[in-house]
Amino acid sequence: MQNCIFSSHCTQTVCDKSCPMLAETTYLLERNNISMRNDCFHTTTEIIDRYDRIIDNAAGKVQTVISTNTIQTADIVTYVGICKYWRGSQLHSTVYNLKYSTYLDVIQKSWGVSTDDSAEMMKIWASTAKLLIISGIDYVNFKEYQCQILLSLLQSRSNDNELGTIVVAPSISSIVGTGPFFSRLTEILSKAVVKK
Amino acid sequence: MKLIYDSRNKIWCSEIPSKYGNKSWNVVVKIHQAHAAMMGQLSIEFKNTKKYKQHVVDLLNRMSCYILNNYTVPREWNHDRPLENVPEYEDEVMESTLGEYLLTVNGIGWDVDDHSVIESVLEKVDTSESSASVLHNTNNVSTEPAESISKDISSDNSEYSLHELEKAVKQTIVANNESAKKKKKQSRTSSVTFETPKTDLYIQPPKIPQFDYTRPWLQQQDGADLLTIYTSLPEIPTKQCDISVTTDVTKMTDSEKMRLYPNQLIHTRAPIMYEECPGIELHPKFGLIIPIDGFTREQILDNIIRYPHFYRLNRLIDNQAQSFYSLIEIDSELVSILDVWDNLPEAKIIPKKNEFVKEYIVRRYLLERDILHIEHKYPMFGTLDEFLTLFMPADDYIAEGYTNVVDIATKCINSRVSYKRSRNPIIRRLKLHNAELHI
Repeated sequence: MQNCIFSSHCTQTVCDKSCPMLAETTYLLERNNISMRNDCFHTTTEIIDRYDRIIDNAAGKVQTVISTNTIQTADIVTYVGICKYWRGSQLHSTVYNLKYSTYLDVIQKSWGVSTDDSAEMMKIWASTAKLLIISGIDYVNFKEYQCQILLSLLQSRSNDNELGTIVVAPSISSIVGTGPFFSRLTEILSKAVVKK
Repeated sequence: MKLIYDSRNKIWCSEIPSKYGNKSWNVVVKIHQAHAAMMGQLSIEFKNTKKYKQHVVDLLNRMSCYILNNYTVPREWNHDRPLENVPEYEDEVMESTLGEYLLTVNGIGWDVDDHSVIESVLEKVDTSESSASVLHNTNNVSTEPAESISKDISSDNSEYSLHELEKAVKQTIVANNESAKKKKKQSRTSSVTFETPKTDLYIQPPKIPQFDYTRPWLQQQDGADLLTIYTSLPEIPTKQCDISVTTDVTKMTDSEKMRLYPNQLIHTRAPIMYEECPGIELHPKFGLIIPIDGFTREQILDNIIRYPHFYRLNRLIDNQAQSFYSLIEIDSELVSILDVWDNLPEAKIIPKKNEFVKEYIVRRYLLERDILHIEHKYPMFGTLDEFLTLFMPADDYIAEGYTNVVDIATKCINSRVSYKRSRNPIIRRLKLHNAELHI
């Protein structure tokens, strides 16, 4: 049971690596590319509690978490979200970490290769996840197209009061971009910053 | 939305900690205690400005909002610094959570001394040129001595010498300072310690498990499966629910063990066990003492203290796990409790309800095992040792006669480790009861 996060506390009668607990948590961890070597499994209680509170308040809105190490923070937030929402997920992506720079690459590749449905799958997971974590925006040069994609995603999720979106970003001023849509994007992200 | 406390029906500052509403008593107690600590600090620093009052109201509402949502105070919050680490909420969230109990600036009667005025008066007392402004500021302080002096001065048209004026103001300031010191002392004595949440006592896994993947505590190949148990974190548990199969009690100091005690009495039995029941004694602390034939009241009470908490008990019958609560062993025979309940002598007193039957079955089994030293033919699956859960402060254990509290804490850790190791499917699969690290 190498990938079971509950192995040291488990008191189930039998371990045959097929219990729902293992199936659902493993699926979500793999979907979000969190391996057993990730630092999110040994972080401080204060950090976990902070993100636990942020996720509790995430339903129906967009929140921005400022961090100097966006990759690590996104993984921790994703892990906390998985621990809260794995039960009953039935192998759906209830928690999804959308790496935005990768998402844009996949979309562009999909214009050329017709058989690859990665972009479509990422779009579906991002649209339907109960908790969506958006990271990697510090690796994107936001021009009109990049801004429109993200704004459209945020807008479509805000229509549902149960879906929460957390954007993990460096300081808003360090995000690179131009154009009228970019100023609108930074305005939305600035207003949604979660205070420490 | 109509608020309970508004400009027509104000709640006084000093009353805020004692009035909140008709929420569940447990939540209300927590809100009261948090507000008491916060109001104690706020009254010391109070400034009679709109901005500061709004700040006070925001803090109180935010704390109430958190407790209502989470049934406990924030983990980072400390009663010694009650104004720090109060989680933030948007206005809409607070309004929807608190409803009519939302506090507003207009709904509070601000019967608190303005500490900034007291300080400014102190600075100006030595300056003879500013005696007029001192008189003006003194009028704003809402205490009887200040008001009475200012009234006397303002109503009496006779001229005061500068010396007499300074003397009067100094007397006022001294009185105000003493009043502020008294309130500060009262707030310190009335502030309560942070309550241990019930979730700290759970046996089930923590919601967000942490472990060190670089240190596998157990790793062994079994057929096609590589079975691994990683060392759980924190390695030195700070809460009872942190204790896992990898916890090593020999690495813990006495003070670390003592931290496992909760700081208030926590009810660990079913809620119905703390309600009155005709014919059964209700202990004010430990709940109903259900009668069990063949055992005295003191033995049963001792059993309740040693075993306050039952969680998913089973029997293994023909390698199948069966609930411990549905069968009872009588004279080495396993029978359904429903078939024999009416014939039991206690059935006349104990109600035939789920929680009572479960308690009866388990406690009778434990008493027979521990006191009569009966070796049951159909034993419980896994271990269940005494003091699995510490449910009251160490002082309370001492008051009940269990004086060796360090030893009890050690037993708690050993019991939990044994409980989990005896049931852990990986360890059992590898048939290792005293598991050792294999890499």
